[in-house]
Amino acid sequence: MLKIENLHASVGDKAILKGINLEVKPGEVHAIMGPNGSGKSTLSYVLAGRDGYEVTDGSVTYNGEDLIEKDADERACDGIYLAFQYPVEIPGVSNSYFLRAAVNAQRKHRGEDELDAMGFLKLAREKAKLLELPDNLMHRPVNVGFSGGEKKRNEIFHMAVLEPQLCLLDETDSGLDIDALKTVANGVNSLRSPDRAMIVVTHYQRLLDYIVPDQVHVLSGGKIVKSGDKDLAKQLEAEGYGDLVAA
Amino acid sequence: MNAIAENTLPHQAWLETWRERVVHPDAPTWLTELREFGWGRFEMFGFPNQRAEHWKYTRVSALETSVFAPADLSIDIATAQAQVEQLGLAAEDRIVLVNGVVRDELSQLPSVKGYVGSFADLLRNDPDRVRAFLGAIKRNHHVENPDRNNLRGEPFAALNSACAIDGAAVVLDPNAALEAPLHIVHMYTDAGSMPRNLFLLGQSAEAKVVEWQISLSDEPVFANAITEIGLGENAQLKHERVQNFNNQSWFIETVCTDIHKHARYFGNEYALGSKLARVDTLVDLKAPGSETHLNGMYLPFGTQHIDCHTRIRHQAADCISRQLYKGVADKRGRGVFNGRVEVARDAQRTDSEMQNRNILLSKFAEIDAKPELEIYADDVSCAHGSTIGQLDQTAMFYLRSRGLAKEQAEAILTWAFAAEVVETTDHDIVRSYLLDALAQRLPGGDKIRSLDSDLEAGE
Ligand SMILES: Nc1ncnc2c1ncn2[C@@H]1O[C@H](COP(=O)(O)OP(=O)(O)O)[C@@H](O)[C@H]1O
Ligand SMILES: [Mg+2]
Repeated sequence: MLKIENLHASVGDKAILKGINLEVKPGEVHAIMGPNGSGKSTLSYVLAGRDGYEVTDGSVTYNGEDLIEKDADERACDGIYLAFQYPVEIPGVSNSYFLRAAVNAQRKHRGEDELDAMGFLKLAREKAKLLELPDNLMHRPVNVGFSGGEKKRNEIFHMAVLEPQLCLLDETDSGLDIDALKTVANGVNSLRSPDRAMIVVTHYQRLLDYIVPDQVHVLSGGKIVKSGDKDLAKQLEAEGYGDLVAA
Repeated sequence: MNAIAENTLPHQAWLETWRERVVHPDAPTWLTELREFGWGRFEMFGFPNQRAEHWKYTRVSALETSVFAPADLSIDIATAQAQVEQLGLAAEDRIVLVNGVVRDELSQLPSVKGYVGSFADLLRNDPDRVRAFLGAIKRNHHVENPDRNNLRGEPFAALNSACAIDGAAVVLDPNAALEAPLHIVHMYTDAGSMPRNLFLLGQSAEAKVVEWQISLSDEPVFANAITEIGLGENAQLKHERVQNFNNQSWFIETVCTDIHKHARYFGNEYALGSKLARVDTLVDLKAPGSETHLNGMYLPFGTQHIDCHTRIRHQAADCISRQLYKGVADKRGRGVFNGRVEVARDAQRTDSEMQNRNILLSKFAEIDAKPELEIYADDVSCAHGSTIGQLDQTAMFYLRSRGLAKEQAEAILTWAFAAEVVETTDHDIVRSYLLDALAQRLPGGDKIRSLDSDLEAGE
């Protein structure tokens, strides 16, 4: 589904990603771990197509197509979803309005009929229940006045409604207490399926107790310095990043 | 002297018609003196020119060659009534003025301890109550030593003092409260009008007032308004102003507010219309614990010019001021925000914040932003920020990463930008009026507005 080869990327003059190789197949969950500043968010942004994040070398192929030339909205319509580490507040625009506009933009792209208000609300309510999202969050301005946990849950709620193929979760666990973490993990797990892949970026092993990955990669200094199965995460938890980062 | 040279300018001719109108044989001497003082000052100042610092970006010299004699007061009541209904105010408490004069047949006055109604009636029946407060021209305004290069709205305030014959008056006794919001609807047919409002709230009195400034026709209007506000100890006024003149009209307004101990003034200003609008919002925090929150939105589109000036003076300790002003300009629209905060030596523990944000939707649009701080106390917290520019790029990415095309994401963020100020209103009628205006003007706004109400209806 996703093939990253020798990916180099920079922001402005600063080289951040320095040769990443990664292959993700349908149905797989990959965890990317690493210390702060190692380039985890940058990798998510590059994959999601943020302006200003320039690929200087290497390639990214998604479903057999070159991803790099596409704009962020086109990638979204092709099924790539990024749950933000820091979700953005948008005053004056209700969460439900925004999400419906997104759903319909994607449906239109796929040549499907747009959902009307009733159809959308039905879908949204179903998914909101899954994430135990308070009803009023749908109607409040996007992320405005949401608690940290509500913002993260809202990101997964959007994901559940949009039903992407490739999910990128950037530190979705940070700032969550244990109950909220379980709710979010349940939501994410319910979206696991044989034709959907996930890349779960996290600083801590904790999340991976609930979202069990197929592979774990350690990112340091813009490179993947080690890969392994889920036990690698446990090992990192016990031993820290010390040796790997120094390497 | 300059004043004599300017007597020969053509504007004198139409101004003379104003002078004739206000002569009133029964007027109390002090009022006649105030009018004469206004005339004298106006003749000395003339209309401000761009050498004056506060008129650098706003050119009003065309007023000198325009003719705005006093508007006719025999107007078509049915048209005015229809406008009241269209605004959704037919069932609301209201003072309706046409061409600056209160029309009882269109108004619905609340009963309250105090006085709500025509300023002219108040002046006739209880002149002494009013006298002490008619100071807009006299206070702060370079009266002793007029400096033509440092003028704000003084020339217009002087002209209004000389010419005003009516306006809306709201005088609340101590502890009195308006139970429902009071709408003050200023409508104009054509020509010139100079309304004068007076709001005086006694100790612990409370009111919500919404002022509308609206054209009743496509004719050009020159409206020069003053509102003087005095808030007694612990009083609270929430004052919202919606301005939507047609694009031929001139609107000049000065709002002066004095806030006493622990009193609170909330001022929201929404500037949508006019060919040229200039508003000076002047707030004096005169005693400890007083507080003001100002929100503003200005949308100069087409060839409109909209100038918002504010000045907040912290004159006592422990006062709070907040300002959020946002501008969106499109086509060749021109906006000005000049926000000034002055903190006197004794105003320790002042807590002040001023935010000004602007977006330009076209490369021909322009907004000039000038926040100013003048601080003489040492123990203060004063923050200010001003931006002019593009939409927030992180937010753009957020929206596009969910599948929204660039134009749609831009439309939503522009909407969100303006709507932030709209959401601070206390009134559904105002909110819905403003969102309709945004829907008409902002790119893609009509779609955002209709889908949003769609979803609300779907509940
Ligand atoms: N916009 C930017 N401009 C310059 N440097 C940046 C920018 N964004 C991130 N960086 C730098 O790139 C490195 C990686 O950052 P990031 O991808 O956010 O790491 P992580 O998510 O792993 O904490 C850091 O050194 C950070 O300072
Ligand atoms: Mg990060």
